[in-house]
Amino acid sequence: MTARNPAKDKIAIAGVGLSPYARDRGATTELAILLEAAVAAIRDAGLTAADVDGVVGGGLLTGGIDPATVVSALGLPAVTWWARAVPPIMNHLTAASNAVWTGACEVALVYHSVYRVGGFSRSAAADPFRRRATFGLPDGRAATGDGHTDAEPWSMHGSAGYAAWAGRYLAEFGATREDLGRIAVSDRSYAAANPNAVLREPLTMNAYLAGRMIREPLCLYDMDIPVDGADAFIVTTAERARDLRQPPVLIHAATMGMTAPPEEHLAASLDATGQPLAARDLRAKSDLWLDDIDLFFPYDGFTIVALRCFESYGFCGAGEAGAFLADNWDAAANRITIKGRVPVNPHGGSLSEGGSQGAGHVREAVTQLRGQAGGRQVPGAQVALLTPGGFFFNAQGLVLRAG
Amino acid sequence: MTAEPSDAEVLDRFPAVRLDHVNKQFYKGLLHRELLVGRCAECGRRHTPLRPLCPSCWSARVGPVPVSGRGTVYLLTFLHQGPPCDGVDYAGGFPLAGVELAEQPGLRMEATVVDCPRDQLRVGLDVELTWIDRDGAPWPAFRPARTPS
Repeated sequence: MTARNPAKDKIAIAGVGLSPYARDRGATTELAILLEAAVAAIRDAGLTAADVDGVVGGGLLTGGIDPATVVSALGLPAVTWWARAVPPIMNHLTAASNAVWTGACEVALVYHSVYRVGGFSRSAAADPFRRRATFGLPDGRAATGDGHTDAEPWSMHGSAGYAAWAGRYLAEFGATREDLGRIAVSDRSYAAANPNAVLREPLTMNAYLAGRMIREPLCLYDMDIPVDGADAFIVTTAERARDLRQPPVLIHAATMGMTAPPEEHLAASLDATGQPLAARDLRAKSDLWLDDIDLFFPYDGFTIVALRCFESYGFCGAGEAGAFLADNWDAAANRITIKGRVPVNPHGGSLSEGGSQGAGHVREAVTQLRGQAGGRQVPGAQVALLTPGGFFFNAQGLVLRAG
Repeated sequence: MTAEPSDAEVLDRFPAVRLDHVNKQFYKGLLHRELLVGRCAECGRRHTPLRPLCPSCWSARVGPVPVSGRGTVYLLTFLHQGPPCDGVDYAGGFPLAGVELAEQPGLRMEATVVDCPRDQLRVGLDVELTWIDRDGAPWPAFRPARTPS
């Protein structure tokens, strides 16, 4: 861990592109979705294929699209840096930012796509082409290394691990499902104003509590909603960004956190996971912190991850997040607003917009900091704190500011 | 002691597992119903899964040793849906536990829990090792401890 941050405010996100999220985009491909977002991002920045000299990206469920495929499909004539990234999105953005900072490239195209596949989604399993797109072993188990050779129902790799730690959190602190439910209800209330959100109907606490149990104590509403869709970003120097079409959004501080052992069932405690490490490291690198932010984007692939973020990042003490959310609950709007001022996942988060490994959170933060969020715009928003990723081998943090 | 199963036998009995030259020892242990963890001959610390170096002191003098099978439920979830598996009933919630083994704090195995009424299965329960069948091979599981620990 180091407080060094020589690239502070020197690198910018200069373009965003979206391929709209949907529960099922039907007979299309991951590459088609990804390219729609990539082209939109490049055009948003006012650039052309010839300007893009860096390419980085990847998705989770299929293993992702290789940069060479993107270079080929977009006909990028001169690329001097590329990398394949495993989600969440800070793996992509950190790589791009570092590459621009070191001069490996000047303009990096960053892409992240989600494409529902057979082992992951029952509806997707009905499509033989999507069954064939599944990454990993034929029965759907993970293929990500020695500690993770098994899958549900025998292993806690992935979703079951979050459920098990949610259960331990509830037991350890005497927290309740209502505490988790506030994350889900709030997200849904915010999502109503986001046309890209796939779930926009209000969710009541009673409906949450009656939600179908999936991985106890996590129910249907505690887990992000599978979608097809993609996001893309243009990362370049702040200097270059100021000459481009859009108001630049600066990367003020960025981090990732992992501690041994990162396997879900072996993590020593929630205090010892990557999430609090990412929080400490980001705090050391950032001049801007909780009192300075206008937007908070706790990652919410699972409600327990977002709930614990309030504790890991220091809004409240361990076990106090439920009370903190109750204290900062806007009853009229049925959602969390920190100190009556700072919205939390104003796009609805992964739980309501769609699961995208933090890419949706970054897109919304950039859109808000540009002042382009339309009906859900937070007036004068200047600083956003984001916490992409989960507890274990993928915790990440990001502070963005308007340029 | 039962004869050590051959590589061919462990490959044949666990066709869907990504076996390698280190983890094969764990799976060979399962075939004669022995639950193995790694132990370092230098520092004495134990670890799971089996590793080529001791994660505590980086000694290469590591090898599999059996555990007593006594432990405590540290993590617990009930799976109400999942991939179809012989012998797995999701209807009432299939328990999946992270069991902290008695040998060392933080030394854990993930396994289901059997022979335990739902209302007694909770974090903190003392358990002991037992064996179930998974796809025709022995697989570790835990049940409530029958004698106080």
